[in-house]
Amino acid sequence: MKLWLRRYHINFKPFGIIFPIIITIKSFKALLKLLTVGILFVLIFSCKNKASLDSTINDFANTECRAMQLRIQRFKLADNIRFTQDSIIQKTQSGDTLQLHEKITKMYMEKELLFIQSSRLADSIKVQLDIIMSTYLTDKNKKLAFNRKLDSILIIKGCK
Amino acid sequence: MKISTKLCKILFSIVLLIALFASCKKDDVAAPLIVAKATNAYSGEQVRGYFSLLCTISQTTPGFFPPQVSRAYGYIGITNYEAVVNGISGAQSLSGQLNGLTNSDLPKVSAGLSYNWAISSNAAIADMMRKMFADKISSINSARIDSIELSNLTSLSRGENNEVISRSVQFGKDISGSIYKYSTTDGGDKSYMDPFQLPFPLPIDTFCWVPTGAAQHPISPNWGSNRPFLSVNVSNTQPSAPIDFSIVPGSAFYKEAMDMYTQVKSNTADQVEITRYWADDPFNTCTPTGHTFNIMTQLLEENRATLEKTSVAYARLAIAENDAFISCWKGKYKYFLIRPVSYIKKYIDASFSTVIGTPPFPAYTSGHSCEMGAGSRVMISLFTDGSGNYQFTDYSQLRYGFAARNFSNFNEMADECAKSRFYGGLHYNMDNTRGLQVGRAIGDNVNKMINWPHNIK
Repeated sequence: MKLWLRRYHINFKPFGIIFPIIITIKSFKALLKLLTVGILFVLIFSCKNKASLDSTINDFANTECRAMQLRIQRFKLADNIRFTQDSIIQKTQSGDTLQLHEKITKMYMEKELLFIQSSRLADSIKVQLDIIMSTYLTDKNKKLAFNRKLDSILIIKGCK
Repeated sequence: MKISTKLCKILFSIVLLIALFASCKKDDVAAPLIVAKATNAYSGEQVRGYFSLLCTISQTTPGFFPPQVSRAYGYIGITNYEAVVNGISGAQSLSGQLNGLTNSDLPKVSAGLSYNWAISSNAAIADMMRKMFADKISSINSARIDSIELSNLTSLSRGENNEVISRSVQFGKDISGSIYKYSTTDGGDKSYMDPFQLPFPLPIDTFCWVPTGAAQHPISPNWGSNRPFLSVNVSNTQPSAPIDFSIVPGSAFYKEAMDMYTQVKSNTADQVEITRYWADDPFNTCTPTGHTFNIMTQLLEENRATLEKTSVAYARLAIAENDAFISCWKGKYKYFLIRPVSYIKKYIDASFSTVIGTPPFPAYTSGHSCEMGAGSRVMISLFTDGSGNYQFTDYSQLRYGFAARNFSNFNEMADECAKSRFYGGLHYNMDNTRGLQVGRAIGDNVNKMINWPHNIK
């Protein structure tokens, strides 16, 4: 590295305790080369970062999509339960409600299962989101970009 | 040379004078009461972790309906505040400011001794959480509290003196014990054991609430008699009587029902989504209070709020939410108004059904509107210049399978929450508009009538 820098007339000079190294650029050509390397480094780094963020959002969208499906199932089941309960109330005086009661019992078992699945997923989403928030979404613009990206992935996946 | 000697003499005199003045000033000021780092020197992260857990515990503990949840958040919020208030510059304890909480009710810090306020807060919240859910808490939730408490204590104790640690833990526990004792006399103690407060004879009249589903009794009919944190939050915020009940087509009341009926029949997909979003979940929810606290947690997180700001914010919201439910419930059982679904099925369309299930308590006014009205006022005071303008995304429901929602104003957020109950077919318009008025008045009282510290970080 040092030799490569010297080749382009970039020298290191000791400079006291506070600034141990000072770079002296001896030619305009060297300055241009240094700038090119710097820009390339920044570009590669930001691409890597973007790729990592994209893959994180994609992973998150997969989990979120599953949560959305479970949510739809919960609301659907809740509707079935309340409509069945309405039927039981209406039929209490006029007819046999045994089958409806059996139906409700089954739905309550399904509800328990859905709750366990949803809760586990909710915990996992919370952890993932906390990491995304603290690592990537450090300002409002990044949040807006994240929202847009997540929305578009969820729409493409048919979850939204 | 001559000039430089003279300059040296002048400089020396100035330094000497400054030193003299400084030492005089020191003598005039009384010794500080407590030797400790300020509350704002600690992160608020651990407290936010507890309030996040509180949502899970509220969701999964039997008997915790909206009033019971608001009370649990309420007392835990003020417990945490009292555990750290001595480390906040210019802050005053809530004792002497809250209804029935006197100065002698709370333990005092020892003068001249050092405390770690984050450790006090950790001990106080964990202890109070166990107490508020005591008889129904599951072993899993109990273990969750133990685990967070131990993990926090371990990290907060690093480099801290053992005496300071035990003194701070003890102070936190003493605060929790005292606030819990205070809570037992408010009328809601262990209400989760009997949330329907039976026997409750149902008033019978055409305008009266009737069961709308499996629950044959309304939730917590005596909740309105509980002691609020601020008396004015109940005495001065009661709504005027609802529009006169009538079954005559063309009457004002009939129109209220008809408006809602028409709305539900023509809801857009977005309006259905809004209904479900603010209803949280059909089975297990940490209730509207939990949702509002989750939003607050996110805002504090985004602002990287210290223990100081986190504690003040939660305490304000805690008082507002607790009192909003007491005031709202007082009105609900005073007017005992029939739900729109019952009215519409009887007088307009027997086949009508709401977007989601109707909760088992009277219509007027809406609980969502009261609590969000109060909560939004607290948020406006904490995060805006009073205009309510604040751009944010509510991510709190992502974990339950809802897309995040964007808001640019807290008033707009409260309006949407209130409106969601109209779209859902759960409330008449008047329940929501007057519910918001009740809540906003409560939020304003909490902001203005309590001596909160200024310039919090």
